[in-house]
Amino acid sequence: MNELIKQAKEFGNKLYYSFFRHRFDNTGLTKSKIMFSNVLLHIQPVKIHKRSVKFKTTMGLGLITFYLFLILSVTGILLMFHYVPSTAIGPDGLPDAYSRMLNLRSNVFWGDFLRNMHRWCAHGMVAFVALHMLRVYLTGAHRGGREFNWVIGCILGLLTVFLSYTGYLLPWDQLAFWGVKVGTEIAKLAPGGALIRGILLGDTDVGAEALIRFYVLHVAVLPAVMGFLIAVHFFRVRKDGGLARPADTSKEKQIPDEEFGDVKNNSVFKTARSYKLVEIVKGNEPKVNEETDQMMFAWPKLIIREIIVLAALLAFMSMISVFFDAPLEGPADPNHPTNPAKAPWYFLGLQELTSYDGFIGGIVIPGILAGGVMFLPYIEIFLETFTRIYRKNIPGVWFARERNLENALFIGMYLFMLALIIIGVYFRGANWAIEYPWVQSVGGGH
Amino acid sequence: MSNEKKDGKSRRELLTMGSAFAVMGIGGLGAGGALFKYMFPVVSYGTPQKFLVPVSDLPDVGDELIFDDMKVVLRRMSENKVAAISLVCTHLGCTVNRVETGFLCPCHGSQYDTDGIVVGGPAPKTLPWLEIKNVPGGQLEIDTGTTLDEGTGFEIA
Repeated sequence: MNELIKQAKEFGNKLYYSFFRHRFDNTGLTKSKIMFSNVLLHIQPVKIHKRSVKFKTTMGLGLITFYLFLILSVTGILLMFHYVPSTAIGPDGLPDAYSRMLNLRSNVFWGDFLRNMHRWCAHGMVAFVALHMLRVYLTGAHRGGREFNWVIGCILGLLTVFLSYTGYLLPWDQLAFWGVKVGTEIAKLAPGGALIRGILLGDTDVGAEALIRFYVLHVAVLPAVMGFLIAVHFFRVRKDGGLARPADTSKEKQIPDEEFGDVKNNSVFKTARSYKLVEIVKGNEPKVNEETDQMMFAWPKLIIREIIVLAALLAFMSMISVFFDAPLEGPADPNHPTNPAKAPWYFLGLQELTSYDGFIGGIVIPGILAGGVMFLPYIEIFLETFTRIYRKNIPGVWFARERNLENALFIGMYLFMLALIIIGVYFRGANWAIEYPWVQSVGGGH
Repeated sequence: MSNEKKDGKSRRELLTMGSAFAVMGIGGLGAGGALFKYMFPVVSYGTPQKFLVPVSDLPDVGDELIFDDMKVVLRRMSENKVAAISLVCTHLGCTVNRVETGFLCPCHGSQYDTDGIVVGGPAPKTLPWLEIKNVPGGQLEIDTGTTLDEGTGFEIA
């Protein structure tokens, strides 16, 4: 009998070690093994700086953006099971794509929830990309060897917007049709834009071909590019030495050691820790005897925090999706736009701009803003090099005094866009006329 | 001697690498061009540009008829004069609404008077006045692809 138990234990052990390559104890070696022997966890370093887990360092904005991308991927794939990118008129007299939306909303179990989740997460992702970018700039984390990663981040931001744009065409409702109509008319104004428009639409006008092309872009091409660039984005953060932080963090107040639980040192060399596991990267890596006290194991403190953020985000988005239905306008009518015909909020700033002038508001200003922001770190470097006025940049510190001017300009740009969006959302009524939300419009209401 | 050898080697390297990159470049360009042609629209399923209206269906003098699908308003200016104005906003292609004062665009607030002349908003051009032709069988053919000067009516023979 004892022999049998022994054998069972041995078998169990073999089974366990075929799944995992470590135990779950408190030694530094185990904490390291957990991180680098798991394909999901090894994206993160074994040891991180203590300030990385502080709320004010990143506010979790980039992480939330990434989580939203994951939720969008999952819900998006699930929605594909019930969606057909076709404008053919079905037996109900509606385009197939649109009646699939109605089907999702009313017949398919959980369909309404998943669609709401997908739509609201898409809105959320656009917002969090913007917030993440603001955080990175205001903490000066776009400089110091991270310039190119900022460019990649900006491309990811543009991809996010383009994914939203291709996504809201798919329901083939009024918003979809006229959004794409107007968007591709703007493209026509750009030099060479007619060619791009032709390739995007696959036809001379918005129609069945455009729906297929936007569908393929939305479900395959753009997510693939995005997934690859996210990998590059994360990889470069790692290679640049983790989150941006000042060269000297010894004066900063840190989370006390007790909070991280104790780490048993089972090393042969009692004084040594696991620095051998730290890879060779650029930047201010933990130097033995210098910054070691400010480093901590990523397992379990960081991972638990990440899981809490994910759980909170899922709970929040689920609640929103239960209580608020994603917008769905009437079926696409190629002859009449709604009045007023408004884009989703993140495009309303652009719509407001184009309502002054198509070319300047639709191409010139957005082009200058997008290009200017994307190459902002290089513009800074250029100005510094040629004026020989070097501005001190302390990476990882909010609102560094030396960068007041830059920060003010950047915040100013955000406020400008925000103001345009607010005007577009609340102050534009029928025929895009100025309207005050606190004044009851004639014939409006009930 | 050693220099020559080094030269020979670097020349050979240059040739090998150069031709390798050239072949890849040509291949890439060819594939890119083919892909471009592949993606380019071949057949247009767009709506037809021209449509017919029987003379007997013309509106009364001073009245208008709106053709939704073609986005055209047909106006009887006098007993034997008609005009066709496009309802596609010259700004970004939305369909304008006919109101008492003229035409208003719901997308970006362009305003036109009753002759389609811009009076406000971002529209850069007058609404196009379209060409009308007589065709056999007592019908008029309106061509949404051909623009005339504003105010140009068509004399019904």
